[in-house]
Amino acid sequence: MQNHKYDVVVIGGGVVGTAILRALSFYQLKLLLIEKQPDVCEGTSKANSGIVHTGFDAKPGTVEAECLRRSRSLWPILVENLRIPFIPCGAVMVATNEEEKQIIETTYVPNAKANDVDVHWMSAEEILEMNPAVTAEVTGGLAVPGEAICDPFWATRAFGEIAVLNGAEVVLGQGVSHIETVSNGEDLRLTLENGETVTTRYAVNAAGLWSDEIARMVGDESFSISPRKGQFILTEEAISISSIILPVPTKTSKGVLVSPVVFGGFLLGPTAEDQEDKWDRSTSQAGMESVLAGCEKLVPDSRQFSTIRQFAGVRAVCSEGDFVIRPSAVQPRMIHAAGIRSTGLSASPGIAELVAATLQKAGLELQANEQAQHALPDLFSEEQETGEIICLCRSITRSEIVNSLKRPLTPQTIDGVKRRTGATLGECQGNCCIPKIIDVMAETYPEHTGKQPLKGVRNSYLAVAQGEKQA
Amino acid sequence: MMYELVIIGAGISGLTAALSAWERGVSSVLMIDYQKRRGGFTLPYWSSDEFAPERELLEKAASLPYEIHEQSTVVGFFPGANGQLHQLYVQSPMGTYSIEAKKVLIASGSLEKPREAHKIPGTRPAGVMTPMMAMQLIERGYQPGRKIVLIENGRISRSTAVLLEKETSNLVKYAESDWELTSIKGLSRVEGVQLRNRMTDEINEVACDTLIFAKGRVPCTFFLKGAPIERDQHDAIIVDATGKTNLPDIYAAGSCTCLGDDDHTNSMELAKETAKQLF
Repeated sequence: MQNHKYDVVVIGGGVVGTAILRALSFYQLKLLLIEKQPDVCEGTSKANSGIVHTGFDAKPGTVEAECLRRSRSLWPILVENLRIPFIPCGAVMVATNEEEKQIIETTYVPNAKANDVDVHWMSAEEILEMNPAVTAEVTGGLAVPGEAICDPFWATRAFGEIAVLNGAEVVLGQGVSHIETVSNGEDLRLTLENGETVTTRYAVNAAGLWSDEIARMVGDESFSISPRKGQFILTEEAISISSIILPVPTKTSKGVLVSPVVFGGFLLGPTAEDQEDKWDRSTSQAGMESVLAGCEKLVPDSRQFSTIRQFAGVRAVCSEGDFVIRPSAVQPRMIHAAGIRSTGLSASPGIAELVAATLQKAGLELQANEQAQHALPDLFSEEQETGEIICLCRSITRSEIVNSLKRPLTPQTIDGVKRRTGATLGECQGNCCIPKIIDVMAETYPEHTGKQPLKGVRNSYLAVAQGEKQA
Repeated sequence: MMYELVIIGAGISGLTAALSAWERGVSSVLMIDYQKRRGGFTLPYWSSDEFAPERELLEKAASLPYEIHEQSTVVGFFPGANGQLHQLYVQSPMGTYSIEAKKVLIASGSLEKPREAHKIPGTRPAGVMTPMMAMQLIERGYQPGRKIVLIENGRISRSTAVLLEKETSNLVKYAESDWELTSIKGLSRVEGVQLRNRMTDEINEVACDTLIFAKGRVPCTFFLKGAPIERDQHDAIIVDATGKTNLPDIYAAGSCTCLGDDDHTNSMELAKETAKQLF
């Protein structure tokens, strides 16, 4: 890694960073992605509703609306080429009184029209026929047929994998600690946490919640990021809804929604809580209560649902109120892809296009790489269904786990295996099979034996290896 | 392959029933188990005093001449209608195969219900685990952690505490009857837990790097999804006192049934009663 000079280094391995890496991998460029966590998709990209938004409610004229508009036509190709689990289930914004109907008619219908998103009014009968679990108080609603759900991790991983197959390099588990300008301002030198340095002509700042800190490294203080938490409840209860059920937003809040999940089950949430700590992903009694109180207005039985898991994600709220996609005014060799609040997954294909165009404008030559692959080949062997069951709750076999360990972006953590196979996602939440997955990882990569197995993020060691001294 | 009886699960209930079948002279019996060894999910606790009867059972069962398919899991169950044979699909290290059975005893046991099922607030760091996970880590030469808080709420957690105390001195126990687990702290690894005294409402913040907790059970009936065998709202198989399910020649016993208990204390009794009905 240290001997090369890169054309572009992407900082951050979330859905935005990997989408950019993928888009750039179709050109003759020397590429590197740096992610500080042990796997891609460990930040905002992993803990969200998984909804691919149309942008019907985005503020017209914003960079966000533009990225969402571009993405709408890109998603169908991505879904096909990368086999992303994707369900075009549509959404309904449910009105329960005349006032809410008014808000839809005066705000959301014209807004959708301005963004060129197809919406139409739906009667209460139609809504209830498709979604019998919705409150009987529904008076009608706004149908947004283009809204869909997908697996955010699958998308992120697939973006990264296709880029790797096209020659891009990915460094996991190393953050950027320092950036300096070298070669008379022609290049940037990035110092990683382990002291290694990387030289590159351009850097893309896709560091999500930490993108303001990356900008500061080149002396750019033009924007700042503050964290906003969203708590979710995941249930496997069979709720009779077939669409994403949205409330009519109030002046203060977009409100909580009920959405199907692409692999089964339903998500309730999120809350919107501004906080200080970018790392705080805790759930709270109050948060759960506010999710349930909101959801029961849409789906009255919400409080009775048993839950398989709760989680919280933190999204980036930008001081500029919009996506920041531009070269840094202080250091034009750094292109920001920052301030991506809650539509990062949905907008990532469009953001990637825009970043590529921005890089070109900044002087990067984009010459098509004729050999580049666009479709992810089937990397699962015929052996997929063989071997004993390791994850009992979800019937995941040894071979499925071994296969996941041999993909272009090799998982190094239990959560990495979880997101690539579905293992540990069942009711026991991995308490039965995590030790067995540790065994399979050690058998597949004997050189890792003796290392402390990690759950997910850095330092999330699952156990203390024998013989290790007391800390 | 056809058997008079297929027993799904070689744990407390399965082994008990198998011994009864042998005593009654039944020769064509196959046992299928997910684990590498017979004994079931509770096996790691059997060295503690509270599991003396189970230990005795295992010694007796060691001499059973029945075929046991280990590391094998039933992934499809098709009950035979009108006296026809039941068909089972089994996933094993060698791949998938099907077997036929005149009678089936489901003794597939249960897993522990983890923290997530109980909506306990806080973060989701590594180091929160159930007794079963802690014991499996120890089996592999790991220590679950350096300072462990264990919530005691029954035979399994008590036995885990006894066994852990042999491994480490840094174990603190809290009885669930007195203390409610109210929050978990820590970003990557557990840094502490918050407990509330049920009597006094006193809040106790305990620094630790490991929390061992489980409450309730998850019946291992995942392979019955879509099968017409009746289950209750917790997915436990509905049986009568003799282990009969809603379908003829399909029986169930132990903690996978609605009569089982979280600590597997009545599993032997239920299995003995069920075995009487089998032949």
